[in-house]
Amino acid sequence: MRRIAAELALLARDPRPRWIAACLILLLAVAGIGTWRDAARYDGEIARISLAERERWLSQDPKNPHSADHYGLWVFRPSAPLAVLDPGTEPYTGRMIRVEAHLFNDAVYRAVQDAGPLARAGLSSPADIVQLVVPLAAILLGFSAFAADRERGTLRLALGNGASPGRLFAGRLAALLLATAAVVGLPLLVLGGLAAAQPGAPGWQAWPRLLAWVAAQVAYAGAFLLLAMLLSLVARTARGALAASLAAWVVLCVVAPRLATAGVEAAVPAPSYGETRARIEAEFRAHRTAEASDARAREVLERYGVQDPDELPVDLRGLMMSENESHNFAVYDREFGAFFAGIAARDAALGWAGLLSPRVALQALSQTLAGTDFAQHAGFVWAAEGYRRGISERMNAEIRDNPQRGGRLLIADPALWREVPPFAPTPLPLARSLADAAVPAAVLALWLAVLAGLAVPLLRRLTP
Amino acid sequence: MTPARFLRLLAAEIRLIAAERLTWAILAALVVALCLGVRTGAARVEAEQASLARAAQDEDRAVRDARAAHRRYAAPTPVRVNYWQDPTHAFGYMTQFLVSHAVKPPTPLALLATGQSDVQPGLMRVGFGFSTVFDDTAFEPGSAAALRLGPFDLAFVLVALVPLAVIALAGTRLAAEQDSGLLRLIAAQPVAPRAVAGAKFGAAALVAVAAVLGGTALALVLFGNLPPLAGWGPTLALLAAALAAYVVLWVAACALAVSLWRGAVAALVILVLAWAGLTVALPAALGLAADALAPRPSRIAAIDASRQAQARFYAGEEAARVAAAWLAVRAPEAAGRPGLRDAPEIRRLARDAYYDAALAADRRRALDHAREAAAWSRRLALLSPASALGLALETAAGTDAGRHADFLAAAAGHRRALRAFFEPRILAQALRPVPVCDGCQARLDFDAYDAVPAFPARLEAGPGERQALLALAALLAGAALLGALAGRRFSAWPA
Repeated sequence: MRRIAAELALLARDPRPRWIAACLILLLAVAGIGTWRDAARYDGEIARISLAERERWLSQDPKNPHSADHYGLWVFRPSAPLAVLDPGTEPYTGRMIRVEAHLFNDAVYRAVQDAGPLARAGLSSPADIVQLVVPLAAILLGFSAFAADRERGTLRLALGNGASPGRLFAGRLAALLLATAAVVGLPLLVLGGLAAAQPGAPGWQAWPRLLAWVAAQVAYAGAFLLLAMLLSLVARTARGALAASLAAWVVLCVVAPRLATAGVEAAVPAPSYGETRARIEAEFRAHRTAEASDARAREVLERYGVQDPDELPVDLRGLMMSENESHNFAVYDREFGAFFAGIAARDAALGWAGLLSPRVALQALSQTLAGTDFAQHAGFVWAAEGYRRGISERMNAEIRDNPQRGGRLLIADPALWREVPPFAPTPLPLARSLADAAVPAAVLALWLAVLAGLAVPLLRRLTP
Repeated sequence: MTPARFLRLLAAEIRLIAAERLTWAILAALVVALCLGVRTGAARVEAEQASLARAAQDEDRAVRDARAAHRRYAAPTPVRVNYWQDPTHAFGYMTQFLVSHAVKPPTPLALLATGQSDVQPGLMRVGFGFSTVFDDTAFEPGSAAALRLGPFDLAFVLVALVPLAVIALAGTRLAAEQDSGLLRLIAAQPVAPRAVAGAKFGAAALVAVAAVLGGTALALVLFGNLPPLAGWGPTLALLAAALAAYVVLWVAACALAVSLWRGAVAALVILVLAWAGLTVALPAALGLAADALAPRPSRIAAIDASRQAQARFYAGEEAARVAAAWLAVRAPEAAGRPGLRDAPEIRRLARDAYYDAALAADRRRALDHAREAAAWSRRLALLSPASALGLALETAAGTDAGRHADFLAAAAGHRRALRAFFEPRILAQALRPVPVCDGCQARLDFDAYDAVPAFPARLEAGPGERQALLALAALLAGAALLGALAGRRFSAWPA
């Protein structure tokens, strides 16, 4: 502990860490304010429109339940509280769904669609800063750990005085790690804490998510700190260590992540959304022709042993709509189930692609812990679809169970609209997120373990 | 120094660079990256073309199905055919069977840059009615995690990796001699430092330009599967010139870094940090500026406006009033005919017109924003060498925001054209139904399937040419500025 305190005292006297800390905190604050502003604006808007939509649904005039089903409503995916730290996939996925009869509509209007081409440079959130800039900061803190002493000749002096290279290394690493954790972790904890403390985010388990998320970011920074210190162990000069560390940063943070995406896309083919939609529509087309409808109507009459729809104990139109929807639900389940599974498989492969670069592992881990990953999006899409089905089934049942004779149309009153509860999506639980994060977390841990393991032989061969 | 002596010096430097193993290692890695970038782009273009082909097949299929139904329903049948099952009816066809797409086909140079094509639709099926607030809902929701990281396309290689290759190639010229002590020996010769630096960095520039242009051409030939480029030659030539200027700019940056006389490693550190600043940080800052200069209108506010319109339409007698008002304008002579305004097609056409009018302001705001954001991005991009070249590549590839804004406007125009095509036909049938045979269940009033307006897809080389020219000018200016600064510093050897 005394060694760590001494190293921390040395760091405190050095102006470089103060400059690095100031720059990092400024960048994190600017990015955090930006994401906070976006999230607050979005949450405010969806809170208002969700209330308005509910009111519009409830205050419909008396009408046929199927017309009400077509009238439908829009539902919105609330932002995860930790989206202010890592918006993850949220800007890339639609968060608004039109709920209406017959149609499993897409989640539409992705924020990234409306952003300009320059907005994708990759520094728009605290998570982006951590993934790209914090490694640079860690390198700037760690590159001189041994190489500068070697250059000055003080390393020879320290080793000659009997200092153990291992203890020296551990002490410096611990001090630098503490400094990094303070500079990176504390601002993120403050920003995330403010977001987690906001009311209106039930079910997110935001505090444990935040702690795990910040720990992952610090571990990532630690990996680059280790890398810089390892290069410092072998480089003859501090400048050499810095040049090698910067080259490693370019490879690991800029080049390898894009190579990883190209590799994953080639290795894990995902079903095309366009083709999935086309298959669904082809199946529906065959089902809704006049001939197919007529055959189904005759089959219903036969099933009930009657000749005339007016003799049925149920409303023919309502029954057929109900059965049509059951058919459509099964098609949607099969096709979109396969589609979402394909995307999930690709995302899982990206977790393994973290072996190429810790940035890829951290991105997967970070968005999963923040609750902004694709699994959360898929959960919202299916929740909205479940809600839509609930409305359709209730409206169709009302028509089916109230047969109207002589071609009359059933008119339902607003009591029926009130039977439909408000849409209340719940996030996937933390346990599920932790399970999804297992692979990228293990990969990040592996990076740390390998880098730490490399220190052992390098320290054994340490030359002054 | 005479030009002839300078040329001899230059040739000697080129021979030296060519003799270094590191040079070949860097160039080999660059060529591999270029090939991979081209392959990624070609695969994306193939997927886009396949998607467009599927859409075209679907449009043909819809017409085939409708014709088959027309033949089938031209004879008596006991099967009841509702209007939503009847493609022989102009109204049924327009609302239930019509498949018409607005398409943004890839340009011949599309593989150069993914640009915005992975987040903005290049294919939109035209729809009518209350569900559609904006047309640009279609997209291929691939892995969002991969979208965040970005593609390994040719633009990435040229914009981000080429400078790194240049830095590796030229970032230690003269500085390595300074570190090894050779610089004192060189300085003792009767040759001016500017001439030595000019020869060294000139040679590096020549090698780098030749390697980058040659490597790119080789990758395009090997993996590009380029279509005929008739009419796109000037754009390609300007892009090649801009790329060469970009390489020269980075060589000039290397010269400037070396001219600080802090040694090879310091020069490399400065250059890598400059690279991070110019290719990542500055474009990100410019993105924030573009966002502030062209604030986004709220999609949620537009959805709210659309729902308010629906709620108004369905409240009380508003639907009947709207239909009557619509009829009074479109068919004043028949406006008072009993039951006409309650016909489903009249109510629907009136409703859609009412809805379009209610949303017109929001849709116009969205289009204006798309154009404004593209315009600001075009202007601001010139402030960073990386974004200047990147945007030139995107514009030539047709994957830029400006083309998308034009595409959105054209799609809106296409929707209006379709409505203008069908509306009189539907109204005519409502006023004077076409007689059908006894026992025929379908309406049989529409078979002009081939006359339905097709989307006028456009492929223009002009915007790409203009943007490449602007990028070339900006990059040449940047290169000249850095070169002049370096030249000034090379007026004397270090003490």
